[in-house]
Amino acid sequence: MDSKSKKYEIIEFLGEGQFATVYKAKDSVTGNIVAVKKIKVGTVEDAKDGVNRTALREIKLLIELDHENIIALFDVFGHLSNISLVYDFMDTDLEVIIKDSSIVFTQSHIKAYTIMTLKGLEYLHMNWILHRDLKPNNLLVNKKGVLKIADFGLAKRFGTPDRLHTHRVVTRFYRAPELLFGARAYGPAVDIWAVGCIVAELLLRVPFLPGESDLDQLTKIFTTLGSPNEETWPDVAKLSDYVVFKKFPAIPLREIFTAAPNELLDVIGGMLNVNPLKRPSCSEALQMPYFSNRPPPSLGSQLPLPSCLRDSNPDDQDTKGQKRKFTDYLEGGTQPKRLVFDSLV
Amino acid sequence: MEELACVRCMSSKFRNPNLVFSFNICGHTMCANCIEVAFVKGSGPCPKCLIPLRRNGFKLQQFEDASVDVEVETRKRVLLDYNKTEDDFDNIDDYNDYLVEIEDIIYNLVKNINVAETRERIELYKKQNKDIIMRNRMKLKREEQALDELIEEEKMHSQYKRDEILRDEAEQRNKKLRVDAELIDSLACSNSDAKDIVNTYVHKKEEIPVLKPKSISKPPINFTKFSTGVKFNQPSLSIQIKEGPLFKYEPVSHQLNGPSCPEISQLESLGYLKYIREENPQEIAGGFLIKTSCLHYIQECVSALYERKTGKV
Repeated sequence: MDSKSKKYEIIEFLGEGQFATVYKAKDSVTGNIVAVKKIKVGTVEDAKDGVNRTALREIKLLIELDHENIIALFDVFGHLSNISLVYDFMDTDLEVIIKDSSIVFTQSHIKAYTIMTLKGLEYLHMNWILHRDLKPNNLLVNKKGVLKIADFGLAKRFGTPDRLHTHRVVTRFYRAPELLFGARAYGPAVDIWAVGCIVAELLLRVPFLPGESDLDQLTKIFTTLGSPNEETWPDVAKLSDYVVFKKFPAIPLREIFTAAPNELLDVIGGMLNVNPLKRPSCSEALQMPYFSNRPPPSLGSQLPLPSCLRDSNPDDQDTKGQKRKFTDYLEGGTQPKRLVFDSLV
Repeated sequence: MEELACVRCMSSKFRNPNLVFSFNICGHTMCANCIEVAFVKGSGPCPKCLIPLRRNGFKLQQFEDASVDVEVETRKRVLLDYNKTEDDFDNIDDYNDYLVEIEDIIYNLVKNINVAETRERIELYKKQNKDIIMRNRMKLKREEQALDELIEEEKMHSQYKRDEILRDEAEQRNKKLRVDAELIDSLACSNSDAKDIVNTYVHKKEEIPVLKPKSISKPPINFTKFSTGVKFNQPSLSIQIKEGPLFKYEPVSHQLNGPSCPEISQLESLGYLKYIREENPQEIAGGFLIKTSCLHYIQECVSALYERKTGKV
C-alpha cells in the first residue's frame, strides 16, 4: 500500500473541503496528471462508521463505470488511516464556465454540453444508478472540451422496489418537484429534471429556478411552469409532503428563452415537465430532433474555456478556477450537501 | 444588320442619336421616353410580344445587339443559383457536365426554346441544392467582404504613411525657421563679427538632417476588430467556424454477457408483469414504475450467465 502513495507525486494543492483535500498529482509510472482526493478522517462519527460514507458510495459505484462522460476513478489506496481516490484531472467545471461573463455561448456550445451530459447520464441510468446531485458544479470540463459527470457522493442504485430513497437529495435549485413533495419512491426522472434546469441555466447564465427554501423552490417551479393538478400530474396529492398551491398559469417558455430555437424549447419543456412520468428518458431526449438538427454540436476544441485557463500553457496554469471548483465541489457549493440518514435509507 | 429601334415609337439611333435604349427580359428594346409613358403604373405588357414586364426590370442597353444584353442578364440570373465551384465536384468530368448544363439552360432561355421546361429544371435544381447554393452565396459574400476589408486596411495604411510624411516635412520646416530666427536674434544682440555668426548658422542649417524615406513604420493599431477578428460593425455571419459533424444518436446496449433480455416496452405483452404488484399512487406520483424494477431484475438474472471461468474471479 505504501508503494502506491509514492506512485503519485503531488504537484500542487488544489483545494480543501468538508470531507477531503484535493491535490493535483502526477502518476510517476504513466506520467499522467491526475487529481488525488484524500478523504479526511477526523470526527468521532466518521471513526465510528469506518470509511466515510460519501467516499464509500463514490468508490462502490465509480469503480464499475467506464464512460467518456463519467469521471474515471483510476485508483484507490490507503495510506496509514487515510483513503485516497485518484481521478481524471479536470481543468474546470460548467459552473465556472457559465459564470464567466467573457464567454459567449453559441447554440452549438449548448448543444455539445447537453449531449455530453445526457450521454453520461444515459450510461448511468442504464447501469441502474441515479446520480441525484446533478448541477453545473458537478459537470467537470477539461481543456479538450470533454464534459464528465462527477461527484457520486449522493448517487445510488435504483430499480429495486420497496427500497425507499431519501427525498432530501439534489441541490435545491435542481431538485425535481416530486422530491420537494416528499416522494420516497422515484426514478431517473429526478436527474432529467436537473439536466433540464442546467440547460435552462446555459441559456440564461443564471440559475433558472433559484428557490430560497424548499417551499419557495416549489413556488418558483409552479409560477414558472404552472401548478399541477390531477390531470397534469395524477396522484400528486397522495405524496406525503403535498401542499396545495394557488393555480398559476404556465409562462410560455418562448417568453423566458427568447433566443432559443423551437426544438430546444421542446427539449426543455419535456425535461421540465412537472409530472415525472412524462419526462423523457435520456435515450428519448437524445433522439429529439434538436440534437440531430443543425447547427451541429461544437467540437471539443471549440468549446470555451474560462478566462483564468485561457492562454496559459499546460505546464504553468493559473489554478484559480480549479481551486474555486474544488472547494465548492467538496463543500457542496451553497447548499450543505449531507445525506440525512434516517431509518428508511 | 437590323437598325436598333424602339419597338414602341420605331425611332432609331439613326434618327435620334441621343436616344437611350433599355431592354427587359423579353429582349425587346425601348427608348427611355416610351418606357416613361408606357410604364407609368410600374408594370405593363411589352408592346411587341405582350409579355408582362416590370418597369424596374429595364436595364440600360450596353451592346448594340439587344440579344447580347439579354444573354448577359440571363447568365447573371442563372449563375446566381448555379454557383457551384470546381471544389464542389469530385472529378473534372462532373464539373464539365455541370458547366455544359449551365450553357444549355442559358441558351434555351435566350432562344426561347422549351422555356417552361428549362424553368422547371432550374426550380428542381434550386430545390435539390438549396444548401449548397446558400453556402456558396455566403462564401462569395464573405470573399467580397474580406476583399473590402483588405482594401480598407491598405487605404488606412497609405493614409497613415501620407500623414507621417506631411508631419515630418512640417517638422523640418519648423526647424529651419527656428534656426533662421535664432540667426536674426544673435545678429541683433551679439557683439561678435557678423560674418562668423552667419557662418556658424550656415553650418547649423546644414546639420539639419535631410528627410530620408523612413522604413515603413507600422500604423497604430486601431481597435476596430473584436478579438475573434470580426469587425465591430460587421454582421456576425462572417465568423468562420469549423463545423463538426451533426449529432447522430447511437443507441447503447447493455453488455449482459447472457441471454438477450426483453425491452421495457415488451414486458407487459410477454406477461412478465402478471404476478407483480401494481404501483401505489404515491409511487406513480413520484415517477416510480414497477416495470423498471422488473426489467432490472430480469437483467440481473440473465447477466453474466455466459461468463466462462477464467483464472481471475
